[in-house]
Amino acid sequence: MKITLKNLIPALAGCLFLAPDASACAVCFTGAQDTLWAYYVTAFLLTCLPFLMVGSALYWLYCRNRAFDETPE
Amino acid sequence: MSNSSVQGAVPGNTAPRQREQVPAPVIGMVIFVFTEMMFFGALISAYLIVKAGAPVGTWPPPGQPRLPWELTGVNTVVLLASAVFMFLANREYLASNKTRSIRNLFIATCLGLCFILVQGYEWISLLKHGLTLRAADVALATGGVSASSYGSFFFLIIGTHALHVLAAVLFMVRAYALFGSDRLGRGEFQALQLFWYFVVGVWPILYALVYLS
Repeated sequence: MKITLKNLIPALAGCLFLAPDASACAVCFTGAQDTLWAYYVTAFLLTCLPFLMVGSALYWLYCRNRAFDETPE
Repeated sequence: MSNSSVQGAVPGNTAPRQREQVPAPVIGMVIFVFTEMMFFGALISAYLIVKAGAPVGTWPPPGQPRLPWELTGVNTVVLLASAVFMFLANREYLASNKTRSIRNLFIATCLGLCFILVQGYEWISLLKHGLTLRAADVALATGGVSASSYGSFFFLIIGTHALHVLAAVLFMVRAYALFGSDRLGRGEFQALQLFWYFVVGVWPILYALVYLS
């Protein structure tokens, strides 16, 4: 059978909607309440961490520039 | 910080005032440390999720050796002291006091090396007592994966940190050699400090999570 866009799209849609749930991640695997909380907390921390790091670097540069501007010549 | 950031000429002053550039090694090290923070964050995240999923009373798994938190606590103080000496080395460096700066850098390096050696001794003891990556017999006995996960996470997280300490100590030895011949740039020294502060700063978190909880 020749693979074309016309028959590829329904095949992909079938894979998406007809396939059973994998339940492969650590949280789905156990389903315990403690695991769920650990997952939520660490996911939150890992989401916030890059913003904190980039934000702190930008703040440091801002303070550095401000100190330079305020230094008497 | 390119030339566009250069300020205009000041009246009565012939030389224009320039913004001090952030040294390239520092920028590179900041980016590297950011990636390292995400890496350790991922390791800690995986550890906490697996630990939370372990059945009650199986973490640490029965039959597995307990981690020597007392000895490692003393070792933590050694590592923190090393960061203090690194700070003092920088202070003397900025004050152009080369002799004292080199001495403090030497002490910081020795303390870092001491930390590595104690960690190595601890690992050998734990391996002798049966804490391995596999721990297959214990895993079967407890009816789960907890025992092997316990050993695996311990060696992965603590081992990764130990590799970082080892790399940092090697950099410190190199910096010490360059310092002696007046070839250590300020940017390189700052980058080394940044890395060392990161390695020291992340350790108390790992210690509290892996050894104390």
